[in-house]
Amino acid sequence: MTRLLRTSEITGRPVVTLAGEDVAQIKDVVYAPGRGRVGAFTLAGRGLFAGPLPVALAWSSVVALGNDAVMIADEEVLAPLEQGVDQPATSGRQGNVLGARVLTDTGTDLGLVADVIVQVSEDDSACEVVGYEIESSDAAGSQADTLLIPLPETLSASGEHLIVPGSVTKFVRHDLAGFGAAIEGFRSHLGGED
Amino acid sequence: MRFSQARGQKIVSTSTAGTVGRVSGFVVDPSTSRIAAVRVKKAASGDTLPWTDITSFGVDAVTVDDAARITEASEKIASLSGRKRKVIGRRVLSTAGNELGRSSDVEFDQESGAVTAIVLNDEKTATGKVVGIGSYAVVWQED
Amino acid sequence: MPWWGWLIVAVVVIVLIVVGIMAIQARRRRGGVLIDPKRPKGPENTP
Repeated sequence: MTRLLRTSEITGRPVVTLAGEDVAQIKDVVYAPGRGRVGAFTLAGRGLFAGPLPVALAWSSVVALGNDAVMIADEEVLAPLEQGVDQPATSGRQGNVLGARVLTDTGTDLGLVADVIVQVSEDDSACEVVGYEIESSDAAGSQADTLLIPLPETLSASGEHLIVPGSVTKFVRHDLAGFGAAIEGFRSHLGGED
Repeated sequence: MRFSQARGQKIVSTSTAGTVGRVSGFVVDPSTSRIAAVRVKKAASGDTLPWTDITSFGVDAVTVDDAARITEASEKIASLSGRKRKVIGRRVLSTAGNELGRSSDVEFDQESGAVTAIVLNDEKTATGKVVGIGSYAVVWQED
Repeated sequence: MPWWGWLIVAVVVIVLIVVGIMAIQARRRRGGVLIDPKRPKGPENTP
């Protein structure tokens, strides 16, 4: 069974070693735009006075992404932030998908990204960005305030605009139940087009 | 047997047949998921009885061959003790990152001292073993 | 102003500073979803 999660459920979750120490909490989810794979998390300290930490957690070092904590083997797996990863965080909203505008390749404005949906494989080996939760502007033909759109396996993203195929509007869902099927349907639809 | 049943049990010396102390608690080594030592109260020679020095952990009493087996904690046992190293009354996280609840009791094997199950405050029991006891949580590997 | 007036002012200022720092740090801990900047636009990223 794969699981679908909102990234807002992951951010803020404690990062706990198998020895039972909470060494950090998740700050940002960092993903590669081409494949949609989540590659790493940036981290913040725990506690009321803690700010961002200068280390990151690679997805490959995650032992398990649970409902209440992200488990890692030990503190040693936290690596210094690679040059550039912290840039978007410090330079305002640039590079952050949350709040970015979603456009279809036919030029329709679907709305602003409120949340990102990731799919975690059963053994926690892969974590893939599969959808956006959007605060809709009416164009998607729906009255609901928020809607879920599936993403193709490769997508174009700049932080300012996110481009999705126009046919996505046929696969819009309003809750995570059944969204897995919408992703499947959308991707096979795209595959059929080629 | 559970920690709550064992607490208060007499510790009897087989050489003098006298009570030399009472069980007041346990020190668990998370690297082996075994009891490293028994905490002792009302003993003259110390407050710690290493598990390996116990002759037998019985249903009604713990036996030792000599009262001198009860000593002050060694450095290793001291490092496993303390408020943040307790197993009872703690948040319990599974190795999958799910919170199982708060621990209220522990089941252990009287022969080996192995911790075999953890009792949660909703009276559910999770079998498995301890992998870590830290300041945030007790990390539990479920069977 | 009596001496305890200054004391109250000092305590209020300290409390405001502490609350302010807590609010700023809470904001800095807040996360987002970032596109990996090591891989900006490339041929495989444009459909």
